[in-house]
Amino acid sequence: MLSRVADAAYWMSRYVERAESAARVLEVTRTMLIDLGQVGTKRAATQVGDVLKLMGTKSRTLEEAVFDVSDPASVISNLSRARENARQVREVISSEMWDHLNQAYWRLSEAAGQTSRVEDLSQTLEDVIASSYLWVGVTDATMRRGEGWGFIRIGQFTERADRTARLIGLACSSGSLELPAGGPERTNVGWLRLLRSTCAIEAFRKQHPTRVDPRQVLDFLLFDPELPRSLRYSVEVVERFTERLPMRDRASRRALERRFGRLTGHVAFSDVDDVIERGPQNYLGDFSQLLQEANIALQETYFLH
Amino acid sequence: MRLDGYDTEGFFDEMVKPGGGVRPEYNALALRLAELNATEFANRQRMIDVLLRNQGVTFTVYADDEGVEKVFPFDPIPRIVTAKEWAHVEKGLIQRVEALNLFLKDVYGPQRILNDRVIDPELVLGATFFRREMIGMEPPGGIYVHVVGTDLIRGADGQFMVLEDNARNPSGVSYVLQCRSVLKRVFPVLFNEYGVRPVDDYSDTLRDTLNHVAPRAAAQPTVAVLTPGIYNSAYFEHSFLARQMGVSLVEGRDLVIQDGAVCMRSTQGLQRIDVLYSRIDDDFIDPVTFRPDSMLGCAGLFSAYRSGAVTLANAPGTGVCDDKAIYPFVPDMIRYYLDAEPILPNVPTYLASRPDDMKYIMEHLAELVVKKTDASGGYGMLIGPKASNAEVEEFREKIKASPRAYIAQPTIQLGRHPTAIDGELDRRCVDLRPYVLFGDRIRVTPGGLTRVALRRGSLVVNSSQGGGYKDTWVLADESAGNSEPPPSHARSSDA
Repeated sequence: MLSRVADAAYWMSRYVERAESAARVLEVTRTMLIDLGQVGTKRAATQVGDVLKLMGTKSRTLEEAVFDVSDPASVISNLSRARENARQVREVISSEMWDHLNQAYWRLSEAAGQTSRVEDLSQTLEDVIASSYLWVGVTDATMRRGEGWGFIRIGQFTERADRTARLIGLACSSGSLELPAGGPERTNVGWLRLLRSTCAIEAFRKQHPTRVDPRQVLDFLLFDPELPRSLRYSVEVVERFTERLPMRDRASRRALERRFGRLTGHVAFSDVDDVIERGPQNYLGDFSQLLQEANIALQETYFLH
Repeated sequence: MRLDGYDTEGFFDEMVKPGGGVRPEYNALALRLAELNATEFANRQRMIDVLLRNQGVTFTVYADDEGVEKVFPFDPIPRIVTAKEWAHVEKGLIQRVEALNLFLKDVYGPQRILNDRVIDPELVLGATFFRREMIGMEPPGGIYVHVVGTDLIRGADGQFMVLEDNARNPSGVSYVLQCRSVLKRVFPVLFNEYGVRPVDDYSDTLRDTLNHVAPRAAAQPTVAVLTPGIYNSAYFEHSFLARQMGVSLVEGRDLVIQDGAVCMRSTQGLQRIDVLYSRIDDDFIDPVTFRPDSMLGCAGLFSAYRSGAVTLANAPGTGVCDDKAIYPFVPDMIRYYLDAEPILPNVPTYLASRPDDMKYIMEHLAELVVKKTDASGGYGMLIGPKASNAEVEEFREKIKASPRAYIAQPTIQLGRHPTAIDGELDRRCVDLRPYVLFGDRIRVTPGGLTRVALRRGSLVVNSSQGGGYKDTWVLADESAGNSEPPPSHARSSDA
């Protein structure tokens, strides 16, 4: 396939995943503030501020972070970029994929124009999340397992690894790694938010039916081989699909394998004790660096030659 | 939806007969429409808009600094062409395209028609879209015009006439295919009793046409569609055709010349292209040969073409046929090359560059339609009877200053067609653009784009000027739709 088209397919998929991830963390934060009875307080402002920083947005409110088209990191901007990329790859993706992505974009645009958009925020965010699920399902159900499919999967799971790493970083910076003394009501909300923002709370509870122990959460989201948003799962998917891409030449293939090998190695050959010993932020910083290098190698091999 | 109170005002109407009453081929349709109430009709019309928007059948209007996406307005009332009418149109178009192709082969070759002074050489060699770079170059199979869209109108007597030829880069065929599929979904009932000839093999035929002109004997030539990119107003169509044909959609920046061949940068390295269906104006395809400021093309593309490494469809230089000052000579071309009388007549045309015609134009300017010879899309036009004195005088000066750049035609009342406007059927002017493909032989897609001027009384059907479109039904056999008595109360008055 055309390099430009492969590039667009990869980014289309990344932006859908990014929009979904942003929508989920915004919605989780919103309900968390209500649960804590903190809406409008200074602590609430810090919580919101942290999430906005994580999204990389310049918006100052949850509402803006969803709807502001002039903010490149807003949910609507991400969805719009996903769609612009999809427009460039329509001859590669299925019509159904385009249709559903396009509809999701139009629904969000329409929601942005409603006067009740603040009251309906929850519904809108849930719709973005559901649209992404639907789109991923439609992609799975209608697209040929060729090269284009490979780039879409790589994009999706690269973005997912990146988002999960950022979310873990946020939880580590705001919460203690120790199990707090006292009863279950003392559970650190930061870790709960992390589990909810990665769709992992139910899976976690099934594995750890006692209290939410930060070490266990960390272990689960970094290393669980079966959790579809863990770092380990995500990088394994990325590596697997990268191996299947067509080989340009031996040298570029080896360079690519080296980069992805380092990335998966970083996850495969660590455990939670190492991570805590080195400091989670250091560990995650290295991870992000390796992810970015692998990403650059992929782009140089397939998109930018 | 009924035709009660519909008034043809004495003009030719596709659906309503001069004496009132519905034409036989429209009987069944009129009955179906009468069964639909206005609310239901409006609901279905909204469904159509949503479907078209979801499929991305939109064009972008740049107002302020933000692009607004609009759906090209589609009117669900189909235009019906009988089998007999179509047979005539088809024969006429095949004849015309054959003559145009022979003309191109001639003017870029021996130039017999110019030497014999059938056409003034100055007119051809000085045309904006004449490409001297094409002289002496014969493309594979001697085919220059692979895709042609010819605009037809009906005069007062209902006779089809050719208004203009689009031999460069005719667009709109994606709307033909898309609107048929949408209409079948939303108004299946309208198709009852009609054997409508399908249009959806267009893309296969286009693919065959392009395969046919591949330069090397490859079992499966690599074809690609060349687009200016996603900001072009016809991008949807470029992407649609690439998808339908199952080929790559490339931009200039995807192309590179290697060892004289045109290649696209793919994830597996450079991949050679045999045939490029170019949807970029030919002066933009290669900054080395044509416009040096073009960012849309690929340096070296034209020499690759001349050397036979790649085929371009349409060939560069075919725009000389679109020149409105050359248009009046197409009937002469048919006589000269084919030794036959034209089946489809032209609209009478006055050339400002001919002294007699100039005199006539100056005397009758306020009654005439004036067009710029190298413009299209309804731009640079004067419609005398609708223009102010100041506008007429402005054109008078322009014409005097550059006679070669203008032609004039009598103001022709286009044929009309009932069109759904605010829940009622109202008369609107229509034209018809059929699509002709030239591969191993010349084929005409049954139907085409029926464009509608959505403003009442307007004669301009271009999408850029407030036009919409209709589905065009070419009937498979003569008696279709004619099984029931006419229910209409439409009348016809003399206006």
